[in-house]
Amino acid sequence: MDTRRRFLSLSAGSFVALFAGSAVSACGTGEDQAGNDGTPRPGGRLVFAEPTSPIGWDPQVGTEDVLGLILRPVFDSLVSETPDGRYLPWLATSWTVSDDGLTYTFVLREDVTFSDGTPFDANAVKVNFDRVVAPETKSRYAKSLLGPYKASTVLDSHRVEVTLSRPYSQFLHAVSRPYLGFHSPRALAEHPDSLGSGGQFTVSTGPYVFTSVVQGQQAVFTRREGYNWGPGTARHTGRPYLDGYTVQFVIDDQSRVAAATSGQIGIADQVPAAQLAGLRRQTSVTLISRDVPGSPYTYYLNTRRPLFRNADARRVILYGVDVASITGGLFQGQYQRAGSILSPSTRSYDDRLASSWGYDRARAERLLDSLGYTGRDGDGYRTKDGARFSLQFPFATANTTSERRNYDTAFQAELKKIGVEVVLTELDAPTYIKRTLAGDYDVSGLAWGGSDPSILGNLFSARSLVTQGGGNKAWVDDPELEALLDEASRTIDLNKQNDLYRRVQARVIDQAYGLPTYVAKRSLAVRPTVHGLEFDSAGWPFLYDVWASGA
Amino acid sequence: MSVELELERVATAPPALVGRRQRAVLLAGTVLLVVFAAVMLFPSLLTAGAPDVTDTARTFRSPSLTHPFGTDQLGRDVYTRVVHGARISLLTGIGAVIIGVGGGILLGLVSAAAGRVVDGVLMRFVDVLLAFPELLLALLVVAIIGRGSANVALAIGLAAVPHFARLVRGQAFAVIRSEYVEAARGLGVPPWRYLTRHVLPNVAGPLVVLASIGTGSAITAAAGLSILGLGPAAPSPEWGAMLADGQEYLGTAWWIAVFPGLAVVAVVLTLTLLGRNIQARAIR
Amino acid sequence: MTAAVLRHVGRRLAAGVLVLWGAATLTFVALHLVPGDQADAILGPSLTATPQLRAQVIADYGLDRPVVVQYLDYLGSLLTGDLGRSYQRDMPVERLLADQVLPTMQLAVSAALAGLAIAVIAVVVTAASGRVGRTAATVLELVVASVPNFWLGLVLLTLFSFRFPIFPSIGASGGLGLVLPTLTLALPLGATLAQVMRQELERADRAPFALSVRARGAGELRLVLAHTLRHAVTPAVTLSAWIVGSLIGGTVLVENIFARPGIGRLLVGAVMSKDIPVVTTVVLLSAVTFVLINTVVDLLYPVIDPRLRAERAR
Repeated sequence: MDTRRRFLSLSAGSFVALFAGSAVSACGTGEDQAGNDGTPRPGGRLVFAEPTSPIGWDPQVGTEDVLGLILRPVFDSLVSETPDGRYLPWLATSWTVSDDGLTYTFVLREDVTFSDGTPFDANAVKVNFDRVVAPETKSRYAKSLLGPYKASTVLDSHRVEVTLSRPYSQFLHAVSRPYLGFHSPRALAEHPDSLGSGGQFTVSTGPYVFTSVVQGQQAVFTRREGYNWGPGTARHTGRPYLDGYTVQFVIDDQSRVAAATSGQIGIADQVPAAQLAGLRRQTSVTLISRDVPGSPYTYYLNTRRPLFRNADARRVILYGVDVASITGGLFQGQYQRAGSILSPSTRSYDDRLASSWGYDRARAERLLDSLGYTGRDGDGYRTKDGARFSLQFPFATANTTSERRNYDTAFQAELKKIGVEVVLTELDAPTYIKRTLAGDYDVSGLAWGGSDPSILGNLFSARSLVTQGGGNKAWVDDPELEALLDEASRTIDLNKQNDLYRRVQARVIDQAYGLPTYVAKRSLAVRPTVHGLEFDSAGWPFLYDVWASGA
Repeated sequence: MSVELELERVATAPPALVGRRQRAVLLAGTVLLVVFAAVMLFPSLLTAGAPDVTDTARTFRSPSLTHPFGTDQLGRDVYTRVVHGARISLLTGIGAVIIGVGGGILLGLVSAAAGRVVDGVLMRFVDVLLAFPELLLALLVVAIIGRGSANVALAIGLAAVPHFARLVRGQAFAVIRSEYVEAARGLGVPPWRYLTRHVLPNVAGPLVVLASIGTGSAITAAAGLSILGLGPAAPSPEWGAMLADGQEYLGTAWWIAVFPGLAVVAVVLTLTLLGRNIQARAIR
Repeated sequence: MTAAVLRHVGRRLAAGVLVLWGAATLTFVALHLVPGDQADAILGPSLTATPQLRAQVIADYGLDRPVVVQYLDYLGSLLTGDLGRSYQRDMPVERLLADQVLPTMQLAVSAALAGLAIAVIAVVVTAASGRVGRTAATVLELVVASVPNFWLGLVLLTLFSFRFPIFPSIGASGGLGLVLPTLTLALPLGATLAQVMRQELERADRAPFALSVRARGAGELRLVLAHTLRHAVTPAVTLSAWIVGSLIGGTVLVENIFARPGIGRLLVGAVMSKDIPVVTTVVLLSAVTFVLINTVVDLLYPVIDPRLRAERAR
């Protein structure tokens, strides 16, 4: 039941999706998925299945990854971003940035209309951006994307100027996301309360129109007649190839994948590790596995708790759990053990770090001895003055996948072997949030997406504590680490920046602020009838270029 | 969830199977019940292993001599987990029925013995509860008091109270209106006395039947709640939780889900057969 | 006569309304007893909700008002047909529900019909066959009636969707997708109904009229089809409350197992995320269905079963 809800500051911190596109690796029979398989032809529909559905359909409000993925072909952006981090025109033909970095001026295309006929102009940009930051909108993600947004000024019908309150180098990245796409000004005026309902209530400029939605079942999209303003990153211009696409929501992994192998649907997203090996042998689908950039699933150790103030107590966990063998057994060799707090497809990943630490049961037990946990109680747990070495590990049902839950159980069993007790408590979301904000836990599991190493600041800076909307779940307050992070965020030179972030990774492992576990892959099962499938800078299937062959 | 149906049946049904077969079924059922009780009380009689020991080198093993029910995604022995799971699942079912019967007796007797107004109010309350399908009611209770075996037992027990209350009230009503209780009342015998002396023994027969079958239903319902993600927390080897766990691997490792399910079927079947046979004997 | 009937109908309807009011109140009370803060539930499991956002939510939903006021407001809204807005999905509950009712009804109705069909066929076939067949059927019915529907669903799914992909594994589209979920609900239902119907049939079989029909030289099958079966089917009517209840409970599980859209799936998600408007609506809806069907059946009893008519006349 993974809602894959992203944390706000996460993508605001990621800047260029450097490796997202290049990390594609095609496996299985159909190696060639790059679209060179014949001449694209118009027509046909694509059905793809996602495990979860967004909770609302307004991209300016919602936060989910899947929301952006599904609505990307409905909402155009001002600019388009290439997988290697350059920006190309889209709804804006050109743009300029003032020397102080505070003013962005966009020149807009003049032939663009919303699907209700309303022309797309400078005013449309202004009313949308103003709506995103308005408190009544209750934006949970788009607002943070806009960052230090101050105001928009309409210069003339197709020129708009956006002013910021401080320099913000991620601004172009922000406006390239679907979360900052544009609702028709008429829709904003006529049914402002229904924008979250999706379907006909969603009116934008994209190549596809949101036709209908059945909550929790499927969402249907139809080709927009007369669309001729595709992004600069696309391989073709003019109309999209497909007549439409349908997204089905199938939470059960087995069923979702079976639907693809039996030809019910074109693409099944999020294939679980357990099925990868079996699917590779199948000819009915091609498997596309992509590394997920960001920080892998990690057990953060709460440094505010008396027990974990001591770095050696944290090292018991770092060395006492055999993550390589859990990963191997549970995922049947499909995923690799994580060697650092960043995954290998993330820029600045330190590939030498993995060999510097690893499972060492003897060392963990020596550490326990030196900490004074020399006693044993009836259940076999280590004790010190009668008190167990016991860890509270609460988690929320809503954002824990079964893969992670299994991993947590293995983590618990593994630590039991060295006499450390882990108390796993499953909570509903509100209670979980309360406990997390109060710091009432010893261990907390978290993965954090994003292709830019600046996410490390969100995870370990004392300014990004969870109480401040950050992801510092270990409550780290480490001056040395802080200095490294500060310097990295000021450094423009990429080599220097990479070096600083490598030192951050080494420091995190040395201090055992967390135990990184496994590097997950995002795998899609794709029918041979689906052609031209590539991935945009966010790592989402780029449907505008996709076409279908008969069958 | 056939408590209500059994209500209809208690008074009318002829035995499901007759004659010698019936005795054989009764014997077999009793033997099985003893086996289940033994497994519940002393799981180590049937398996040497512990249910939550993982072995990451032996994950997803299919059934074999060393692992008769195979191993799961964490390399735990499914047979060992099914055996150890008996305690949680059976205790949850028994606990739920005790709560349901207890609440039902209380509500039913009070309703039957008290005056028209109290009876009317209580029965309307029971009507309200009956308007919720049992599973929905249990779902609500678990959502309020949280998950875990004890809470699941409480939820299912509470959901069953209105059904038991109706049965008790119906049976008790007839007895209370009977001549000898009327007479006792006339002699000034206090209500608790004639309720426990005369009314309760008369209600006991149908209650035992219902309780037996109800335990099976409760075990099923508890497993259902686990599947919906509201049962006891991992890694406890509760049958429903194991089923839910294994659902994910149905295509690749069917044994993880199938064996805990078979255990539920076996227990429910045994309890139903026994209940029916007791009922059949009582009628004759 | 008509006045008496009207009074009877009126009393039944009043009782129904009373039960519904009780159900609404109970749901409201229940969900306010849920631990955890409602504002947090509305914001969802995101760590990054700012205090301002929280304050906005509390003001918008009126969570700072006294519970009594919230309760009256809730009842008032229900009466005017305003079911509220989903906390989690940012849209009116009725819009959310509109698409889910149909798949659940399709499933429930097809399962009820299939269950009845299975029961009738089983009874008729075994009535014509001998003692051995009847015993075998009895045992089979006992076993099937004891199988939990969720487990049956998993087994059917494994066999006929994953192992031998005959039926689609997902979705509600098309009749084919309805087959396995329907069977999952209908098999235990049919088995239970068959048990009861067989009892009735055997009782009717011993009745004097059966003897006279036999005396006229009619065959066993003819006797069953033309005469006794009618008596055997009446329990299906008297058991309607149980059938409806078990179908509503059953769809919750089956929809979750088969990843089918519907009320049940909606409900479980809503319970977990404490989406009060959705939970109350779904629970009320099931109570309305339940009460409605029971009231109708109750009123129709005398029409359907001549014996009951006779009893009431006495």
